[in-house]
Amino acid sequence: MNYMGFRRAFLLTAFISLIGLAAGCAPFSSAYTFKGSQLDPPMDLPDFELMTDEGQPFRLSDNAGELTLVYFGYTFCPDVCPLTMADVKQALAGMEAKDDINVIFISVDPERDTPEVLSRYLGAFGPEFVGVTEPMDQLQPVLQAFGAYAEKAEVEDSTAGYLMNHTARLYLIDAQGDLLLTYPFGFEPEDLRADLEHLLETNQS
Amino acid sequence: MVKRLHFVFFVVVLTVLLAACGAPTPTEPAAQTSDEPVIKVMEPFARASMPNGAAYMTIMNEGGSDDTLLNADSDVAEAVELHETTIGENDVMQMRPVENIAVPAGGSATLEPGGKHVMLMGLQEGLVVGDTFDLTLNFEKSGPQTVQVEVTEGMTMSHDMGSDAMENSDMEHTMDGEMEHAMDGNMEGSDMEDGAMKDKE
Repeated sequence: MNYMGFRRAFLLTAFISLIGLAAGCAPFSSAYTFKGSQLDPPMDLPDFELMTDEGQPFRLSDNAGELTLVYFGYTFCPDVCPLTMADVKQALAGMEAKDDINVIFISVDPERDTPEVLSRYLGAFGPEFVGVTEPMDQLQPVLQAFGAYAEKAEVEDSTAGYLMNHTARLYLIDAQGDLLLTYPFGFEPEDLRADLEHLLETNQS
Repeated sequence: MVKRLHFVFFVVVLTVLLAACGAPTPTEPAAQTSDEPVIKVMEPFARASMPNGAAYMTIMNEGGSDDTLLNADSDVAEAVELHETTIGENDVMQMRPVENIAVPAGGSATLEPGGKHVMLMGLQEGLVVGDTFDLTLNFEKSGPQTVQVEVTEGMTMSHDMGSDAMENSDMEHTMDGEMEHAMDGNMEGSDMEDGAMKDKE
């Protein structure tokens, strides 16, 4: 090996080492703080399969490697549910990697939310919003896995007949299928978007 | 010269027109004596939704005695009720009808997302961003007051979007089509006749 060849090899090695070092240090030098409430360590979720409004099964383990947002709500709900879905829509607006993000709206009111009703309700928000409606006894184990709650409440003096009490949190499942983040009602769409973008970036590397 | 006169005339007309536009349109009742409630409804808005929706606003009482919002009416919905959402322990959301909403003298009542609201059940057509509709608020002392509710997309008004403007207009169209079909299905579908809507007219 002549001198020039040696010099070139040396420079190349040094350069590659530098890149390696920089990459190795990156997670430490710019530790990202999640905007949502973080479960540390992420919570294991049992795999579950639910029927979507399109008549397709949604199995959590089929979506490994992708991010999944889960919300428990019902279409009769005029206030908190559409507001949360609109906030999710706003967070996703303009994001490039929407294909790697699933939004699952699990109805806690299977009596009123037929697949047709749910499909039309969610269609207004976007194609990545998928509805799930199953009888309550099949939903209970899923609710429990998330630590979520839903209960029918009869109301007097109302045309509604009954309303549902339910957990008003948005859940984020990471690419490993674990529950990583939750967001309370009224979260900032920008915060959700920042967390999603960070997770998508770190997944790819 | 003639051209110039035209121009001056045009400017004068324009000024008069603009002045007319700027003039306040008196919608409030004429000044009342200070021991009466004086109700002012600020920024009534709703979010795009179906089959149900909610209207929000701040109701101010600038008068010298208390008033109470008893109920509300609107042609856009089959039933209009006063409701309150509370988010309690473990983020469990509850929604309940409330009998009325107090508007104390010199104070206000806030109807906001995740709190008190006017619940619109069985919307004739889904609410679409950019639409407005009339809502009549019936007060115990001040009587009926009709306000125009604007359907907006975000918690804040439509000006917070900027680069998302395209997305918004997409949404409007989507909502437009989807909502109408959705309402057809939902209101005439079996679920409503199953007793969900007891008082269906």
